[in-house]
Amino acid sequence: MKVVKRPGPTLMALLLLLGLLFLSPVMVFSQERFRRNPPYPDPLLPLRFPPVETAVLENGLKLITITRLNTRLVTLQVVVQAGEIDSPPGFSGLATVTAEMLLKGTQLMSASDIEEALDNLGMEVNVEVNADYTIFTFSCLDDHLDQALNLIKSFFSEPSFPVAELTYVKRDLYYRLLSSKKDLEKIGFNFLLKKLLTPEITNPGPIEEEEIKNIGQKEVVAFHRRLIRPNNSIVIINGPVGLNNASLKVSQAFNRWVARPIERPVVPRVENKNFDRVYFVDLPAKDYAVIIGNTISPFNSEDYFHLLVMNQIIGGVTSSRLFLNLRETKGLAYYAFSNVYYLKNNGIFWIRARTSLETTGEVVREILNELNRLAEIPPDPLELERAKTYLIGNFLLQLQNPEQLNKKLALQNIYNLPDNFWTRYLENIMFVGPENVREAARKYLSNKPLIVVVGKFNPEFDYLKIFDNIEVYNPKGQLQLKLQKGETNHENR
Amino acid sequence: MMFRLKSRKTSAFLISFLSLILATTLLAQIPGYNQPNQFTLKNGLKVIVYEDDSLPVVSVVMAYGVGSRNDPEDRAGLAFLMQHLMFQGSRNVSPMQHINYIQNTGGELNAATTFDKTFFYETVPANQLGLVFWLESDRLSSLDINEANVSRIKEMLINNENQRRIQEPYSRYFFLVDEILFPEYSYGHALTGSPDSLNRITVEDVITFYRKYYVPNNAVLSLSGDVKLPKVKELVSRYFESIPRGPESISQPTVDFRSIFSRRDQTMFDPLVSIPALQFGLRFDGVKKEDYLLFRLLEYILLNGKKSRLYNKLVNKERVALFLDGGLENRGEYLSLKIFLTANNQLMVDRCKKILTEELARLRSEMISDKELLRAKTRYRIDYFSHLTGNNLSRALTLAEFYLQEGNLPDVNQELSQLEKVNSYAILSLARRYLKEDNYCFITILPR
Repeated sequence: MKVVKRPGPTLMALLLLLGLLFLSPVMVFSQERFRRNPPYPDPLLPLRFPPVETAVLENGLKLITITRLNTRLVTLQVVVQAGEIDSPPGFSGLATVTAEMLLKGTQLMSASDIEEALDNLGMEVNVEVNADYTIFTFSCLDDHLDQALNLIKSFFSEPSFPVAELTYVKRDLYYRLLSSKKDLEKIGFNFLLKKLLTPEITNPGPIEEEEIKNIGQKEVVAFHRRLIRPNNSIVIINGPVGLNNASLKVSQAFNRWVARPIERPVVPRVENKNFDRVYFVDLPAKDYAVIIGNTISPFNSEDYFHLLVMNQIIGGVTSSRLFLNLRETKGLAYYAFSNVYYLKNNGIFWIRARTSLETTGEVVREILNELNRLAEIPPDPLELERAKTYLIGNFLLQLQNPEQLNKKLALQNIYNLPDNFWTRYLENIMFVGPENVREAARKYLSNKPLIVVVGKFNPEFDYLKIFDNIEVYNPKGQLQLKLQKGETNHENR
Repeated sequence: MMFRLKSRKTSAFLISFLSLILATTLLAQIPGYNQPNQFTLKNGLKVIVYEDDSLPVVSVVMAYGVGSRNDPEDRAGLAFLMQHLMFQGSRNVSPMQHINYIQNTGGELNAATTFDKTFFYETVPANQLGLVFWLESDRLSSLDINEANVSRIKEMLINNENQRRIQEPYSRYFFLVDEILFPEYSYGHALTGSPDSLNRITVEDVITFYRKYYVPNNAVLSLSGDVKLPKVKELVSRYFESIPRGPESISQPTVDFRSIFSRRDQTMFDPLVSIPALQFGLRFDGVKKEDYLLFRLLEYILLNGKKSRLYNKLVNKERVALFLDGGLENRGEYLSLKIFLTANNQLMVDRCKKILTEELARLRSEMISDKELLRAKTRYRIDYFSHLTGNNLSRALTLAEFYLQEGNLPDVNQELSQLEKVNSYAILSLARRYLKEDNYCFITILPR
């Protein structure tokens, strides 16, 4: 090892002198003791949330302000408690199309007018449609807030849903979905979601591109009338604005948005189950994605923090067990991570790994071993502390981003989290002990999870050497073939 | 995590935006922004401290005044290689452990190289500031440079370069346009180097480069977050004070591009591309600092937002371009405007060229409307506030960039009032002074 230590002029003279005396350079470059090891961190500084205040306006619209005086920018979000779960059977994508159509015309403005008005204010817009909620994010300068609100309110209270724009929005969504068909993990996760949650939940989120053509102006208008209502929505304003001021501005802007009774499908809790087969989604690809998962308790359960730490230990980052084992130690996968995903009344713990055909079986086996290991043996204290340190630090970093902070407050409302959920977040992570993690793993990882493999199905490869029971599907989700040890059953549908 | 040059967009626009706004000596007193503290160690390390206790996090930027312009002849890519090598371990930190240390705190980190600067930055919980200083000071004082490390990084960069040529086939034209606009090695070569130039780099080259440029008196340490000045001074002194100074004066290459380009309009057939495209470049010579603000507004008028002149005409109205992106980049006393677009066929590309030329000519012949100017000013203000008040990292980066550019932090000045004073005539005058067709360069890229 050649350590390039830069010699200063005095040191250089000394070096020459000592060199003459045949002394080792290592002795010359002896270093200060504090450089040898990383310093211990100082005590964690107290977390002070910016002031968060709430009001409910006359039409039922909830307003949350997060007052931050260290910025000139306002991040404004409109959160509507409606998502793809609310799209009726045969019309998946309706929530997404409706959300995008809100920005494509109002009673007084065409799509082009809207584009220009947004552009003049330098406003960025982002629309995120999830299974059970939709977030519209706008950003502007604080001195443009009145103009911005005046524009934004018209999207929600006076949309015109022009047919020509509807065609364009549907086509655009269709092509976006087609292009996402190259994403093996997304395909695998959507397949997993459907297998885990249907038939209990009719539409757990994924959009069927073939159903987009069923969506017409009538459905969009009805969706807006039924669910995009002030009494089903939250406006969150993050920036140098207080509640009183914001309340006045928002109530003036949104007073023509009319409340209506809201009816949403009841979402049942889907229990953690045993799965006895491997689902293979056959599509042309170079690599293979392995997706493994099962349901867990919902966001507002008492297990939330235990599961969060459990996930971190198993596969949250590159120093977690899955990555170290599958990639660094055994070289079986390009990567392997785990995640938690939540929707109303349900949660999902899932793992994603990228590998090759030959190693798919070993990857699945190793993942299952890791899940069992944690269900049997609690993590050692050092590993647990490392996971908690990461979660605490990363939470603090997330709060810097106004969109993420706003979203956390929105989730608090959407998933009925306690008022002090985020303010006690760090404390709750600190309280998680090794037995809590093992217990969470035992509770949710003991059943045999659902396994999805996405990649090119090779008829010449002996899959039954690896798995006992396999069902092969095409990318549209239609069953093509069943393979079981001892018998083969072709089903071409 | 790949410590490559940040995306083209980031490198070209974030950093160049910083250069441009900062060189106009702004940092006016604005709500949400306080004057930072600054001090200099005996070894020349400049330190900027911005205290913001709104969240217990801190962003640290270690910025060095070295970039691709300092790559020795035939060693293109050395500055970029050096950026990667800084993660390969030092006396007390094993290879790649820098990344693990930061990620284990829940923190984030990255690095970027530009024409004349190299940035390393971390955001961590504020109680981990000592760790960041320990890591940064270790690699500044005792980087582990050996044959194995250098070979590994060279191999990785060459692989990346080969992959990039396949996966992002248009990127080579992004660099080619620089070669044409700046026909002199230090200004015109690709920051990422080429497989040949990277292969020529030796361990000795790296050591010489490191000793010359990675020295406290060629660096700025910029912090923003929940820190207190006395504590920062104590920690900075502990970790950085004993690192010796480097060479006192570093000469920078000087150039003079007066010649007319020999390759102003060319067509390339490329088997790797599937959609026709146009890479446009325009060089502005002898740019005065007081004009930077006007250049930025000019860029916003042309390219920023869906109603900007070029986007509106090429994508929205005439629908001849499928995709359009671009922006200003600065290189010393020169600026360039680079625009990339894709189109359905060659006819469309030709039409795009024509419109582009007409729109640039229109800037020289017509005053822009008040509405357009107001729109550009609004977008400028948003970017301005985003950089100075958006978050700790953007603020620390902005301040580091300023320090490297100017050598100090200015007194509070009238930047925003300067912006308010800009009128349409100033833009017209700027266009007439700097827009010269001789400095245009078109590369039409067609599938073979």
